[in-house]
Amino acid sequence: MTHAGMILLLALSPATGPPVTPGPSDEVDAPAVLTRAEHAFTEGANHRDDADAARPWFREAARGYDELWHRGFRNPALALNRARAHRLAGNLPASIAAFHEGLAITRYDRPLQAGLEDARAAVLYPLDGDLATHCRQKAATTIGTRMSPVEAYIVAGVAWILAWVGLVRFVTTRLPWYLLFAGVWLIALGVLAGLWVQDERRQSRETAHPLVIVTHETQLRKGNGVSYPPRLEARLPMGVEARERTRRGGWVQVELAGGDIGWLPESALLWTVGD
Amino acid sequence: MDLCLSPEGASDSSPGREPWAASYQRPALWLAALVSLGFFYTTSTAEPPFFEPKEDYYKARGPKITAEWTVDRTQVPEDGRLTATLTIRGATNPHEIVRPDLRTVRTQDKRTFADLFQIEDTPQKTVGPDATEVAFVYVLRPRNRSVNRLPTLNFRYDSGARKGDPFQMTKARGIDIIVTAAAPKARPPAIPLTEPGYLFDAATGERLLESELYSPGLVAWLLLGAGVPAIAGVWYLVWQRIDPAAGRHARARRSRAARRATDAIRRSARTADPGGAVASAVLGYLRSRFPLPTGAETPAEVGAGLQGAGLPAKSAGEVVEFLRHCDAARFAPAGDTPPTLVAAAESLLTRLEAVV
Repeated sequence: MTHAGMILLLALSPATGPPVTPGPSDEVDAPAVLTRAEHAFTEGANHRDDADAARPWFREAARGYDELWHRGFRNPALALNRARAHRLAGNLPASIAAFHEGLAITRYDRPLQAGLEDARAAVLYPLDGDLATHCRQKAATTIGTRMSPVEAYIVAGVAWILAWVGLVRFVTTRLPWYLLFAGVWLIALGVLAGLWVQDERRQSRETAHPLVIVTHETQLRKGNGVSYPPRLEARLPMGVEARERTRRGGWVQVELAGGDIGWLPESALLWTVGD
Repeated sequence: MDLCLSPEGASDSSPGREPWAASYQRPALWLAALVSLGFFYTTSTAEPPFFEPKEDYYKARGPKITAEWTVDRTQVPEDGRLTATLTIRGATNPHEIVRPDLRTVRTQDKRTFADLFQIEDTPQKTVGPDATEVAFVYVLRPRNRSVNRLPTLNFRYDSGARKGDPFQMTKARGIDIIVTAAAPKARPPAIPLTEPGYLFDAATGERLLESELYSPGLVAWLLLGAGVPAIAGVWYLVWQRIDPAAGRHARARRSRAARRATDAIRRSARTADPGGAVASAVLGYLRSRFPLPTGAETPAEVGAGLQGAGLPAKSAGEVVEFLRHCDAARFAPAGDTPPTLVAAAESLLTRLEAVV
């Protein structure tokens, strides 16, 4: 791989969310919405010893954070607050969706990744049977989930600089180990570029099928109607993630993480935006 | 008198009458007579009457029966219970009286008791035939606060009168009640949230309103990709300008012996005897590159040895000259400064490498 090719790949491959500008001004300005949401979250946390009293506060906080998110204020901290507020409000599917929407713009964010894993662990799979193995998502471990574009830029830049330093030192000193030094860094650069290309392909593959989340316990069926027999014996619990394949007549054909394909009613699903 | 009639209405004794009619009509007449006798018998004796009232009749018999409602209280909270007792007095068959089912009993405004109250089942006491009264107990829960009265209950009974209607009506008169607001319920024990503690931490402040995440774009990547080679090129040009012979020096360093000697020469400034260190480095180089005699130590002996090894006389002379300079620097009071010797030594090595 030539240097120019690697540079081009590195330039094109990092999966970065486009800069999003806030939407048109709404009736209530964003700081006021934020203040309201923060107050509700604080009140909810203050009432954590009483779930009945706390959950309405967290619902209110989640509404506020959702509003900010949909106005275009998209950053990892807000995504984390959204997801936590939904989770504490008792809405696990919305929490998982919020984690995914946050990770769509910052896939490398560790708190969001950890939060998503924790939310996935809270999905209530039946103790008997192997439904969990059919449905449980595995955490993505590509380079895009471990390194931000800025970090990739810095690492690639350092490797590129060191490679050229090695080349120049070789020219000026004729010492062969400088050439080896430069070669090592060029190889490292190539490996980095290859990992990003792999990550980009995986992401393209995933985004081709929107992610849906089961909002309430429902049966996965072999066809798009209640008259069709179940695909799996157990009902899918709320919070199960699946990839949409097609839709027909108010039903959605989905593929579970384990590869099972079946149909679910649209009313039982929540779509993530920006996954 | 024979009442049998033929189909044409003539008597059997009429001329032309068929005898079959008499054989049909006689049993029918007997049957009708028996039914009539049975009816009159049952309605004229003390046995249960044939036509009993369908409503408000609970099998009570007696010449003068009274019915009365009593309640344990007239003020009851909305979610409270009211114990109402219906007492029947004057019945001759108290043990046979059927308990009125308030769920189906209609009030005067055509509603049932069940529309006004939730009626709870309660066990009833049995009474003997000699009891003077019978009491039916009901536990009632007002359905809402608009209920303000225990309705009147109509109670029919069989008075046994032979003249006129034997079924008389008495009433258990209704009682006004007041349904008050329910006492506030004690809250069930609070259940704490069981979610992990870290979920209760939320970021705050203006950073939540940031909407742009920095990410290096194409220009930044191109700048990095092209900028570093450009800087490297400038470095190379500067290096060449500072030392025009640097290229030859660099090539000279390709020889392992020359590289060692050069490194030793450059380190000589840090030693206590720079001149001796430089001379030693050069001599070491010469020994590794040329087959010098073992005892050749002085500049003259080294020069002779180099010429014997095939080095041109001019180059050998330069070596001898350089070694003498080193000796002068070491032992003369005001000799060459070490930097001058270092440069001269590197230049000598470069020239010797070119010759070799």
